[in-house]
Amino acid sequence: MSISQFMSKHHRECDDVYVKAEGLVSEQKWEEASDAFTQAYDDFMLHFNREESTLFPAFEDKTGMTNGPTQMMRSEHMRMKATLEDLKMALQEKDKDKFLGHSEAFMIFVQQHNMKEEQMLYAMMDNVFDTESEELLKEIA
Amino acid sequence: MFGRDSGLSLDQAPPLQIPLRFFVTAPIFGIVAGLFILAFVPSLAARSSLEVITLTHFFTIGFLAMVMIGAMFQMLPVVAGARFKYQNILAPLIHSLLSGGLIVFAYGIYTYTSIAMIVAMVLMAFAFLMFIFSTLSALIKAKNVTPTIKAFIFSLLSLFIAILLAMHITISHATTDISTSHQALLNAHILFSLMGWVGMLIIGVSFQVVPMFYVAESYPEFYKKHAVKVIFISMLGLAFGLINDNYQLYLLFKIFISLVFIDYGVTTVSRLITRKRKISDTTIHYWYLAMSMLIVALLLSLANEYFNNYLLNTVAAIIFIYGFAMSIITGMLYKVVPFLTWFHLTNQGYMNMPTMNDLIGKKLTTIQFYLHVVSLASLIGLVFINDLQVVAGVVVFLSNAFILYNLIKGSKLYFTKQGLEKMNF
Repeated sequence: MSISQFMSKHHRECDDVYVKAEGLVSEQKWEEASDAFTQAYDDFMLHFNREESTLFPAFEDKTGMTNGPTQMMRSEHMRMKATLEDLKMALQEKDKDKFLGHSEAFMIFVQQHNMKEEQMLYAMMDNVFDTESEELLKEIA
Repeated sequence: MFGRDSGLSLDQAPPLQIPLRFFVTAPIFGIVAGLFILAFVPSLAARSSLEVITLTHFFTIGFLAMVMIGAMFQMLPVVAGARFKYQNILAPLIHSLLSGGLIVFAYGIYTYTSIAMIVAMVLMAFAFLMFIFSTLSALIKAKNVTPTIKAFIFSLLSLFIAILLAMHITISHATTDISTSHQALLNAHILFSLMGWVGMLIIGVSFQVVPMFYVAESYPEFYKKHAVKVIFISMLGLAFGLINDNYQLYLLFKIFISLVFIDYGVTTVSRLITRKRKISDTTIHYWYLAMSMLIVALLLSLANEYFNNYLLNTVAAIIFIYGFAMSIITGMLYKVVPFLTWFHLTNQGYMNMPTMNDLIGKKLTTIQFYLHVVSLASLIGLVFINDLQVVAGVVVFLSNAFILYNLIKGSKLYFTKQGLEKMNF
């Protein structure tokens, strides 16, 4: 499996858990929603961590691009983390409209971010990493 | 390998003003179209009458092309990792040439004034050609040629052909030198504009936004890989058939094109039905309406090869333009404008702001959606019933005024942000 395939698959997994939480919020099933959201939250953090601690530094070392796409992705992660906190708070307050309102922007932002990673950054990673791919995958799995 | 000049940077979202000026202008031309119907369009039955030609271009250039060009400024960084060079000059220039050109065009066609037709042609051709070449030059530099980029390239090539044909048609009108192939070239112009430029661009955008907005399954790989190629080649074949008066060839390629578009419509609906994200909003209604209208328009147009009734063709064109393209574009604007407002404000550190859903509000978009459906029905009615002129004019006016209001409501916070509490990350 390539880095691109592995990470893209994890994007879908994050989506799945997250939309489940969102659906439960819209039905106001707060307890189940809270569990699903916690799982989604952890999945997102795991994903960010895989990139920020392992893949991005390796990419930067290999290409010398420290101010390029990886930096941009990091700053997008920051914004997603901030919105995740808004969502968490709305969930705690059991405020359906607020949650779904934040969720709308969050979902588009996440999908747009994923698209940039999958169509550009991961594709570049598959190109620049040769033998390292396997090791990197082991490290993040 | 990925140096500074590679053109690859993942954050090049243009300032909000750049796409927004196009987005807000679109419903203004929609409003103008409504007023124009009230004043000058007693019937839509005669497709080649001067008032119908004028009205059509208010919708196609004033609304559709306006939004599509504005959206391209926004999408290019996301889909191709590139942006327009000199976008701060290019966007207002294209926008004003196109808006000004369209007004002169409307005057020139409706009053059949040669000089105005030529002036309008020069203004709009200049705007479109600048747009086509600057977009293409950014797209061909993309490192990873995705199906969306491919669709954009074919769409722009179609627009290029449509513009050349439009220039030829306009010059023949202005010089009253109408050749025997005029009708064939006119049909080719309509084909490349609607199925080529509008249709393929929407297909390319769908590849991205259906999974993105609704967390739906991606379109089938085979379709993504081949659909636009088949459409483009079939359009060339169809145009060849038209110009050489070869009916069999024309019909064969027409069926090909229709099948690819119907496949797109059915696939999109099935993707939306099985989408993971179950939240429903006005934009979803717009998608379902657009896809069903696309399929209806194509089936009508195909059926007309048998019935041979020119009114049926006019109805198919109305359904394609107003029912399919305008619907999908309006639906997307309701997602994109509040999102961009949210995006740019949070980018500047304004965190304590209304959520994206509160920016326009579901009630307003729902009312507008129903007005849109009524205005579509009244336009179809106007093909057959002259008495509908006032009704059609009023509802087209109201529906577009409502879009304008909603878009302003969705974005004004960006321009009046003093009230928002500024917080630091």
